[in-house]
Amino acid sequence: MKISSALFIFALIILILIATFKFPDSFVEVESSQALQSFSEKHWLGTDSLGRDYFWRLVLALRTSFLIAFGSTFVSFFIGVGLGSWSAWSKTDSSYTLNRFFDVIQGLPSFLFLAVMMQFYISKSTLVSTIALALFCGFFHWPQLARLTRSQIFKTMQEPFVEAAISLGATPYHIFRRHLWPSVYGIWLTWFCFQIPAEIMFESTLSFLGFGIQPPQTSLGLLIQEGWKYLDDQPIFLFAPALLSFLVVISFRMLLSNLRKDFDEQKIMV
Amino acid sequence: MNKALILIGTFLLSVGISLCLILSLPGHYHQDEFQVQSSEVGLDWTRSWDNPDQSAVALIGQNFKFTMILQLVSFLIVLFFSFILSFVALNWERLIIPLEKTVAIGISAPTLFWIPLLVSTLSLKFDFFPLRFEPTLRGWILPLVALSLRPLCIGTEILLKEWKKVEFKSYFLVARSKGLSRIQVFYRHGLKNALIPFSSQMGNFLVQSLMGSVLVESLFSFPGIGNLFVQSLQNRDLPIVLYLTLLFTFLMMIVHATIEIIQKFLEPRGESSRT
Repeated sequence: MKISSALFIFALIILILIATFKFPDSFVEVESSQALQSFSEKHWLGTDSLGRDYFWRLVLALRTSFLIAFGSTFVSFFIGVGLGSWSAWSKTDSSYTLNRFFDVIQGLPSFLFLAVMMQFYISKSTLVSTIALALFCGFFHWPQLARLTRSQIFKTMQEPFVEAAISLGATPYHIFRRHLWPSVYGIWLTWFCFQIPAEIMFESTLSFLGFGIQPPQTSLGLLIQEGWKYLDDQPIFLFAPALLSFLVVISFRMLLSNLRKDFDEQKIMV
Repeated sequence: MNKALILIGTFLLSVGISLCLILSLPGHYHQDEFQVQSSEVGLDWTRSWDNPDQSAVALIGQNFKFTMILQLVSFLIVLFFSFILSFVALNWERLIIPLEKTVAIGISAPTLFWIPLLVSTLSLKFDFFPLRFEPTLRGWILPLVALSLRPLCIGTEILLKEWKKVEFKSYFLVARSKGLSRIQVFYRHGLKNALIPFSSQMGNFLVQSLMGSVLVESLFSFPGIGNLFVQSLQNRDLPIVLYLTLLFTFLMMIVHATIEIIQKFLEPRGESSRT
């Protein structure tokens, strides 16, 4: 299962790369004469109301969703790891204050704030709105990783090799790089597999409600929103993006559960 | 005390962010019809800018009761069915694995995947339920199912996991050897242990459910505050957006506080399992 889900994600990434070279402007050509065609050899999933090939629109939508999901996950990762490590390392009141700060950020209604924040950017260019969405999602979704990093580093800091490194005069950066962060790699990897599908769904929901990516750009949420209008006549427009999002989410979850099992086995062996 | 400070801090930060963001939006909407619209009503933050005859609070009040009913009934459904499902699986052991698999798929399936599936099957194909919300019993069913299905799966999964933990304890075997049925043992000895993670997850569920109601309500045109938020933001009716953001923040604080109290009651030894 682990290999099949990893292969599926790999195949999607290959498709996204092909789409990037095939459509350098990120738009599928409009051919009004070909509107609402059924499946054919030329158009694998038919065409939409403007005659655009639906299969490639789906791949481009997936690319946008992946870009935002990966971008926001990386933003969350850097903030979470930075603050989590700082919180674990500092032995003063700032550690306690930072931990409380994680709680406060985690309790914020991020969805509402993002919907309002995106009002400032949805009229801007595609690139700006995509970057803004990825950054804002990242800014709100790091506290869980910060907590996980903090607690794991706390545990590792009790180990004698860390005490030895400190007493030998190693710099904090060296200690983190050589001794502390390697102990959190497993947690980071599982967090990535958990966070990326969560961000894909978060972005899809925002775009579906009209607060995320705006037409003519596409994302999975936007395609589902379009498909909702054609539910009676062309159910494929709704089910194709919905099924794709389901498959992506479930593939990441399968990877996650397998990774967890692997790490648990490693712990038992140690 | 710490928890109270965190909750108050979260609330104050949320209020600060909401005020900063929403009060600066009129400056951003400087062109088009918005200027005409706002100059007509003179940026009156007590009234809806879409319906200047109606006060913002009254409009939110009308929608608030629908959302509260939806949330409450959905919570009761989750509570009731997660216990029933886990008890049924306990009683007939061969059901445990299929139930676990179904529940895992239910947790992974995104809302935007299975709501269309539900609607196209039950509403369009068989015409059991209306596609848009109607104030009848049939009209309530689809929004309720859409809101409660995922939390129900999460709740059932937690209960099954907790029951499994209890199953290998010595007191479970002693109670079984004394003649108690499996359900009786779980009810007497496993329930309180299971309630601690369950209540913490239910707290998360309530918070997510408040946010999830925005999607579900707008999908089914449900006359609740979630749908009102989406429509108000799309129509640039900022007083409603402002008050709704504050209301959501306040509701979230209430939910967090309630769960902390419940956790303290269930786990009096110290820190709750939420943090």
